[in-house]
Amino acid sequence: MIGIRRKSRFDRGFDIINTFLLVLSLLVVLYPLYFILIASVSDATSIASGKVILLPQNVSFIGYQRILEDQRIWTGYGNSILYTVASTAIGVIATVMAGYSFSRKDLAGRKVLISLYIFTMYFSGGLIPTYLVVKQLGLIGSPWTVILLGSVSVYNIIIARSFFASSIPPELFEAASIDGCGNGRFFISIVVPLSKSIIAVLALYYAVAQWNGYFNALVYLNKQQHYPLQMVLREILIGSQSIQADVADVDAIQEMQRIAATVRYGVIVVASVPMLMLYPLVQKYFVKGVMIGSVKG
Amino acid sequence: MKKAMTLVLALALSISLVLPALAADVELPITPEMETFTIMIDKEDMSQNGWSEKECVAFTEKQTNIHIEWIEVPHSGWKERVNLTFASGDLPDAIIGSGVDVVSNMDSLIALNEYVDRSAPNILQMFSDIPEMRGALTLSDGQFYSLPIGDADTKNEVNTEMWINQSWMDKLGLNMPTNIDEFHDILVAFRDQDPNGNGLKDEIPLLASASSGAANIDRLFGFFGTLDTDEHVRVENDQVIFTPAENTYFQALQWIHQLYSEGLINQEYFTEDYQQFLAKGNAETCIAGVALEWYIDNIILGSYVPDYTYMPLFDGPNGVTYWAREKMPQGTLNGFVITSACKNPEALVRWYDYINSDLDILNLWNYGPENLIWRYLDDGRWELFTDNVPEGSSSSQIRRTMGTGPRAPLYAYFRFRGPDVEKYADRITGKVEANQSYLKFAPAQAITSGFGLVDEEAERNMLLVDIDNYLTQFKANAIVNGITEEAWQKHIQTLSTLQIDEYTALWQSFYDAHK
Amino acid sequence: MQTAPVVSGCVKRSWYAGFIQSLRRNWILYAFLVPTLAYLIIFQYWPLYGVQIAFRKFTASKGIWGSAWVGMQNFEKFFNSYMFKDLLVNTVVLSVYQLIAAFPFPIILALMLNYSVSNRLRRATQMVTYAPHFISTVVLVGMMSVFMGQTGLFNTLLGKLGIGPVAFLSDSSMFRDIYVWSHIWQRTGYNSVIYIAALASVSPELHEAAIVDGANKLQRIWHVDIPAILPTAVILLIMSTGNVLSLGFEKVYLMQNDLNLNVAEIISTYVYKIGLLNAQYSYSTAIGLFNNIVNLVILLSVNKLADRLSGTSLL
Repeated sequence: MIGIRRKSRFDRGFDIINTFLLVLSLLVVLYPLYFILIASVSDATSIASGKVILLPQNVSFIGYQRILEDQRIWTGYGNSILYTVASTAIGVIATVMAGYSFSRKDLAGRKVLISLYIFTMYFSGGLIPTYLVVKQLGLIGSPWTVILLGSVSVYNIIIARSFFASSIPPELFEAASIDGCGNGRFFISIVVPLSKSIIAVLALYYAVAQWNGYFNALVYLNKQQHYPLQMVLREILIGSQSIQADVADVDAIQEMQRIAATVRYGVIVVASVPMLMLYPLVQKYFVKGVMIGSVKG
Repeated sequence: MKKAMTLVLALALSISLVLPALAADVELPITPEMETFTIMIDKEDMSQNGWSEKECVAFTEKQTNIHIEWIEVPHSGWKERVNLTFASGDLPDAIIGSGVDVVSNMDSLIALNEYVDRSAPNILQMFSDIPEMRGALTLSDGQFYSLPIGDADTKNEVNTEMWINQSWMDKLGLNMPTNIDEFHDILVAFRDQDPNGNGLKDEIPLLASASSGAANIDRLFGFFGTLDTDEHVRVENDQVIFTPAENTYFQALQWIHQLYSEGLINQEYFTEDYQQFLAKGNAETCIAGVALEWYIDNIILGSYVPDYTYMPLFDGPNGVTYWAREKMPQGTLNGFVITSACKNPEALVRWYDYINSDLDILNLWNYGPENLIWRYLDDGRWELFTDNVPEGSSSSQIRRTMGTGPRAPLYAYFRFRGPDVEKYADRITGKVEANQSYLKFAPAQAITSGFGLVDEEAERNMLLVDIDNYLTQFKANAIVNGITEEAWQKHIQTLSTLQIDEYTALWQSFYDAHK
Repeated sequence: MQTAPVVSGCVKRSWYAGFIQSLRRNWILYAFLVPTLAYLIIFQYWPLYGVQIAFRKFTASKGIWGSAWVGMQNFEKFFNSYMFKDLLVNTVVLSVYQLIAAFPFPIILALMLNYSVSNRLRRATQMVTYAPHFISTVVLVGMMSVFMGQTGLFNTLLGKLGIGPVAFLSDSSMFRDIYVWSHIWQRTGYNSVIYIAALASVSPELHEAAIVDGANKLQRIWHVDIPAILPTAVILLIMSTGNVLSLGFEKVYLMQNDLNLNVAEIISTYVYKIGLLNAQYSYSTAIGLFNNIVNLVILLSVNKLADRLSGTSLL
């Protein structure tokens, strides 16, 4: 009966408005991204004079060419990938373990422990004491610092906890333990296979944060060859602003300024593409994975 | 830039690279065995390689037996890193870059007097060439803890002049202004009479930018007999005066607001970054009437540069015009420091001394190998040239990649550069003249470079943070929206809550000590 | 009154016994906590001792323990300073504005997607709206000047309509709007994922029952969907109120210019300037500590309030 029921006029109106609004939000978000893309292959003068609106003008790949010729970008890319992969792997493993433990209601002292965790989200000792600790650990200048410092997020642990609390019913463990299955085996052979979606979500969270971060690298790294991409980008973007005049150097500076105006867009594209490509890969797990709060913590 | 750099490298190999001869008065090697030091360096953004890859570094290591482990800090994070380094006590042997707070970190640094006096003939020569240098470096305990770095070129004593479009003036039948009203009228004419002849009102009568120290309109306050410097003070009759509280400052604000509100200054003055500012000047169509810059061709497309000339200064409505000169002595006085972590400070002092011992080695650091972008002339002088700069690169970039650029353990003062030993490129002659002409308007007395007392400097810097914070918005607001008598009175009151009296007194005590 | 100690002793014993029992049975679960706990102890709790420099006059050469005690002097200095009122107002206004304005959008988008008649449109919109989340702050602020600068795209377009130019980035009255709405642009799609998940878990029977009752789509949203996602919304709201005074400093810092500083100077940017750039560590730590305490108080109060009102809480 319900299936063949005709839609009310109200609902039809609702659908039209809803579709319109969806298309509108799609465009509002899409256009700025699209603009960056077409600007990255247009020449700077056309952009400045407002001719680039819907299509690229005077297509030129000089911006990309300059970017690809810069050795620092490649080193930075390599480092960023390395840091992101390592940090994400460590982060996901540690977070899934902690999140699962916290989801178990029979874990005595769990409220105290989780409070200890949450406290750190809102209270910290500040940069200098942290720097001193890193120094005492002998990690200044080591890429491990950058990898480790981004590898645990309490926020992500809470998300993982909520996921497990809602998707692994306590009865499952009870049944398994009657069959003689201990915590360790239960985790490996039952929990982990059921958590693909949360693992995908966590990996994405950690990867994005690590990829876009530069502050830890700025503070703790010592060598150009260790810099991640974001730091190199800052150097290039900010560097092109702070060119100081040198004698006998003028035409070159002007040439560089013009290129810099185009490089700007290419750099945005180059820096953002890897993360944008990551999402579709994990998307199918995504909605399933983010279940935070759909149950009481 | 990889291709460009490969090209440069190939060039560097093909040109007969002349490495410096041994300087006569320096004993080498400095240490009998290879010794390693750690140095934190303020890395130039334009440098495309690491410091250990630089020719000058390898050469100097071979000569001196001193090996350096470089800690390369990008310039955008330099201040943070240096402060953290001192705060945590995690010190390298030396720090080289755009300034270390020598006074408040005195306890972590090593006094250099003894070592310089004993074994640094070239530093001593610099001290006798620039008599005020030693005093300027010395702290309240009578010792000095740092050595200067950077280019200290006499043509830069006034860092910024006003450059005016002579061909526009000719076209509109205008003469050089002799007072601020005439100056204003010229700007109006530039705005209204389409001097670039494209039928559009795209002219910017006065092109300036808050994003750059050199292109800043702060200097215009000088027409009213006040100044607006980074310290917000000036000196007259040995008295330090806090300028933003002066009535003349109020007059200047009103005048600048008038210029701004009449559209005579680019309306994006406060918000655009340096790159956007440069893009304006570099537009295919010439749109700048008057520009504030170190030199006009920094911002104007090469083909328009001959249209411009410097605008001679004139006395303002209060009978006097001030144009601030760079603080003397020039250079970054706190650019090279040795920390208490260093086991053999004397070796590093001698290392610095060696790099500053003659032009060959100094320019190898500053500009890279000879004949790449610098060369000797037959008359014994040297010059910079661009013949070898490949397309897509620039000599700035080559300088900072093949050499180090000026943020390095070198102090290029008139012994090494300037009109006596260096042939300026033709395009620079205008700058040299303008510098001379503007220098006449520099106030007779000024705060000099140098260091004060620990507590005084700390307190002064502390006060300056809030003062700066307030003044930046106040000034911007006054210039954009105008300022009434009432607002000015309120401003004076606010200043007293910001403790400007105490602040000024601290500068007075500094001035008295360094007079 | 006589029995009270006995009862509490009993409770205590059973708690203790329960803990031992749990430890024996679930030791592996505790072991699972070791990596994260170790991390937090090393990188979060260990550095906490540094907070004491807020009560000292820290000088680098003397170190944390060697610097002189000054008690509450740094705090008094801050409360009496010229900047105090402005900083507090700017921080709270910006933060609350963002909290309130940004809150409904992910929910609305999730509902819109949920009721989309076209699957392709839904997928496309979802794909596109999450994308900006992956852009770094540096890039986002760079994009602002691309679009909203004096010669940016907006002004070019407005110019064609004979309007402007509008000084988007230099008009201090627009700073907060741009900050918040760029946030909405960047995060709405991504934040909506959580609500989409919550909506997906609403049982279809509830909707069918509502349809049988003759409810239209708007009524179904109101009576079925909204109650279903309320707990999620409350948790998220609590978590963000805890950060009311600690807006990410990077975006504000990058957006600051001379003209908007009167509204754009917030506590975290000020702490950064005072502390790291001007080396006033004690003073900046004191300000940071004040900030943290206020945050914690707000978080706990909101958490308690939410617990009482809706039975949902973070802890």
